[in-house]
Amino acid sequence: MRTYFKSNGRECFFLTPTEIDSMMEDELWKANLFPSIENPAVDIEGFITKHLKVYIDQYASLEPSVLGLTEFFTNKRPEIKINKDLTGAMDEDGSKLGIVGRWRATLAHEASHVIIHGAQFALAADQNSLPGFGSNENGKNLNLMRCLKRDFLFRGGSSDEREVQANMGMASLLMPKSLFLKIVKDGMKKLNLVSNKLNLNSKETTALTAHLAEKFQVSKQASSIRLQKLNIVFETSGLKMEV
Amino acid sequence: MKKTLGESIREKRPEKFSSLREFAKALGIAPSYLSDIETDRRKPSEEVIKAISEKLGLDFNELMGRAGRIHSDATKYMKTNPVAGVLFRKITGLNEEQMKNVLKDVEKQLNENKKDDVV
Repeated sequence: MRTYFKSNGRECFFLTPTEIDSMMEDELWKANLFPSIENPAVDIEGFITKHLKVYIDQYASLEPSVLGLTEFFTNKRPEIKINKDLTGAMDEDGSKLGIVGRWRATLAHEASHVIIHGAQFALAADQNSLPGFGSNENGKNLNLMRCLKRDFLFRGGSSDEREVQANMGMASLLMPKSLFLKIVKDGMKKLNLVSNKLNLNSKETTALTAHLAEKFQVSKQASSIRLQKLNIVFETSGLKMEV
Repeated sequence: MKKTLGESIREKRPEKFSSLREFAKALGIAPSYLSDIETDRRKPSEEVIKAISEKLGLDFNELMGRAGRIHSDATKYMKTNPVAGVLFRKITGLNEEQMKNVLKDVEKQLNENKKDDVV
């Protein structure tokens, strides 16, 4: 894997969105959990506990601003913690796609830290340079990825490259590219959508976004951004479909 | 180092149940309560330990021991048999190896009792 050094001397992984898509699809296949066209919602909890062999504390007492957390250790598997308020909200109203989508996204985000940054942590441990791995929170525990609400944007709005990569990984895990493109094609047929007449703000795109969100059990915001990131829908005019 | 009750459960659970909610439903308890058990934040009742041991195929007595709980039958027995209470207090002075030897002797004695019953 290619690496580069940040101005603070920390070694970082350089990964393109395509590489992250492939990495996550490979992991889903290895786990035997790559979803089908009939049931495209990834079993993200099963993926983490069975394949990554990481325990998820789903009711962790975390600060309100922290949705999830991944901690790396030298002598045991990493641990994921999810804010109990987020899980509690899902327990109270698991029928709301927005809430379920947010919970699933948090799990997938933390899973991406384990997949991508677990390797980075191992590398730092091998080179005896764990202080270089650090934390995404200055001055706090080393080897800890605290994922704040503001970092949880599918667009990747964080200044820490690891949060941006985990957001990309989250989208790739929950909406694997190859399957997403197939379901977009099917969805367009079902919704009688005609190409070249859609743009981001059209009601047709809104219908397609809702259809995809339901299929993949993600929020509408997540499916909308995935459509844009994969250059399927454009903000200004027209629709580009290369499936 | 010995595993805690929570560690024993969370290690075994993914083999039988893919999610925390699925297992909680099978046990008839809230997912948040199961999560507290798996993370050793709360100690479950004997009934819940029994259900967990059955669903996951784990040894009930071992789970009870890890939870630091004494079987209700054992408590009842100690209350009605003072010698058992004395024995229990005395064995606290033994180390683990010596304790295992006592357990072996007890099991041997129990087997002999069973043979006598058959005869």
